[in-house]
Amino acid sequence: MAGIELSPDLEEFRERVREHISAHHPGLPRLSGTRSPERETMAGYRVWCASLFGAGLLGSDWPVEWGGTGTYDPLREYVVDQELADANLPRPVGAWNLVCGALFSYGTEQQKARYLPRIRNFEDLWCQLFSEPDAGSDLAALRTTAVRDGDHWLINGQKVWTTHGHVADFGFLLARTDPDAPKHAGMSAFVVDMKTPGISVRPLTEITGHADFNEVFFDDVRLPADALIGAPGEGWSIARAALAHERGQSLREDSVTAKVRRLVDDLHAVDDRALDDGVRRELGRLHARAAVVEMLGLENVLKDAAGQTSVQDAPVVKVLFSETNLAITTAAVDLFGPRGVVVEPSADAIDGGYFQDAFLWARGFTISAGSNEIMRNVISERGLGLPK
Amino acid sequence: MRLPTEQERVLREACREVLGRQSTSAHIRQVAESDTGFDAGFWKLAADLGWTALAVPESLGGIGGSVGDLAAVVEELGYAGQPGLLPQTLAVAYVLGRMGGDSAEIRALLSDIGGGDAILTWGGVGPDSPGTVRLTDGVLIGTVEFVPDGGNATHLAVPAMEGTTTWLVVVDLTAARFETVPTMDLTRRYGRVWLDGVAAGSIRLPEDAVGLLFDLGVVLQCAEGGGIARRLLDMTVTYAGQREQFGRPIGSFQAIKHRIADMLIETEGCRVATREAADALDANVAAGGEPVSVAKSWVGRAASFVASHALQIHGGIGFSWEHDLHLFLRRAKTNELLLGSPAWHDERLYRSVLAGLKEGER
Repeated sequence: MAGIELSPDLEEFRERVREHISAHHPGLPRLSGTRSPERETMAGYRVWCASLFGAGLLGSDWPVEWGGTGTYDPLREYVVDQELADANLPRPVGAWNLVCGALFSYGTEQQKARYLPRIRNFEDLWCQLFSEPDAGSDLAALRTTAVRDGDHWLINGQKVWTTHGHVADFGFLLARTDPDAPKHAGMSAFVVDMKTPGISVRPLTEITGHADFNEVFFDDVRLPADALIGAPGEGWSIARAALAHERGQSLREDSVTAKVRRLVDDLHAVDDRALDDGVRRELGRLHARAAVVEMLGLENVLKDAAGQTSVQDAPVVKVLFSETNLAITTAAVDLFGPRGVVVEPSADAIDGGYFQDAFLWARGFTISAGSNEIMRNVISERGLGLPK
Repeated sequence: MRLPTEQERVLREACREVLGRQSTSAHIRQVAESDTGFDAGFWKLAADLGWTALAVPESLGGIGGSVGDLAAVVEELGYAGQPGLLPQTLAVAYVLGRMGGDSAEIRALLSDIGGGDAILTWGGVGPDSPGTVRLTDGVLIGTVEFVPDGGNATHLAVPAMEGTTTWLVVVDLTAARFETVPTMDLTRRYGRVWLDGVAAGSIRLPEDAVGLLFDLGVVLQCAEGGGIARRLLDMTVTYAGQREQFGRPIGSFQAIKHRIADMLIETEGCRVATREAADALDANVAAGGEPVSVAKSWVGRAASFVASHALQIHGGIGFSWEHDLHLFLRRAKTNELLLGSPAWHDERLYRSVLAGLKEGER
């Protein structure tokens, strides 16, 4: 798989990343999908993440006063992502990349001083409190309320699909402050200390059998007045600004060409007789699709670096990545035949049940971070100008 | 991966501007319905504008363009629906310049190509044409199938076996017989060339040149396919924004929007896959296999997929002979199946993945 040819500067940067990795190797496994660090290893995980910020390998785009260089370089982010993936190491998870964008544009000096340094030290792990049972793709339909009560805000409602909610120290919350305003105008953004009384976090077991997400319940939760980011009613703009700051996600997922190689390897391990023509061609076709997904992902990094990004670029890669990933994992289970149904802990599970788990996981990517239907609306309406 | 170069951008814009005026629907249909299917006006224009010299090395007075440059031009030809042998001529010229060495005959031919006096086509370089052309005592024996516009070419590049040695020979077609075989593609004629008794001449390139010509032919075919896909996408976006049913533009219906979003996704893939394959050939003439087959596996299907959706969204008007849509759909399907179908290239990719794994085990 071809990558991006790096300038001498970036090659030098890559060396720095490698040296950093060997000097600070945390001995922690890479987290796949949206999985959270384990509680037992959290202390070491925080030290590792803080070291990446401290060495300027991550967050170098932050303003100088908050520890960055003020320059955003997507190619450096790309190099870091590649090196962490190659070393099979985790990157800092959570909503920090989302909330920092909100704080840069809308936070008070006091809020920035309180939260930003703790992000870089990774003392705080952040979760995103956006989705609700009745507000998924239609996020602006959210119903969690925030009512002003003296010098506090009183929060009531329920969030769902909260990644890292069970290990998070802080949450980035969207709630309705004005039930009479049009739905986009009545929302506000808050910082939530997850230890505040009245918050209960309940693990949500998804189809894989793992609990990687949570439901978060707010029952008369009292937040201080300065938990509000920006002004009341600015929540929608703040969320959009924050999402715009969160870039280049697709490259951080597992490599789809690597999955195809793994599948070919697994099929030969199961039965090393030559595969029939149809199977060989299916594998070749999947390889081509996977290779093109990765090319488009790399091109987006280059477009970002050149300031040439179009509104449809990220959605195109999101749709293509998630659907190719689903096609590969589905083909894997299908091609294994009857043994494709066997999962761990059976010793008969092919490749330790890797593809059975990946097949179920793959369903999440086509839904999360903007369902593929919403992405197709963005591509056609905002990208191609089709009428609403 | 890289972004388009400035040279590619300039070439692309020049082509788009010229072809926008030259390759009108009426003109393309007139050429398609003519006796020979040869667009003499376009060929003169291409020579005057230096497009025929694009693949000719600078040392011979040409432009010495990269494969990416050739692909930029050919993508615009695809967008315009322009008939003719410019892609084939550019491909053979590139191979001659890159692997032909330095003989007086090759210099003369490249000079004729640059000036627009020689028009080239290919035959027998891929899996389309069964049988082998033999070379004995300087004379060829054999037949090649699916030769693009063989009746309008002055020269043919064809693999020929002399004993156990395979050459890529470039022969004068004056003495050869060409028979058109009607195909779905109305704007490019394919047919059979009888080479029995045709003199092989002195332009003989080593066997590697056959592989390069095939890979390059596939890359330019993919460039054309990407242009076709983009044209059909543009036509469909425009149409869906204008055509009203139930009192609304049909483009406001989500069923239509999502099809069009998929058309864009497929078209975007054409662009990057073709560029990646073009760069691989520029870097190393022998490195084409994997990226070239990735491109064909994607583009072959994508252009037909986009054409199919375009036709469905256009509804009845798209099904009519008078609408240009079917010219592009026909070209897309024909390209998909020639120079190795996507399934043929999938097999090549499977072998390449497997070889990579075995390499890794060592």
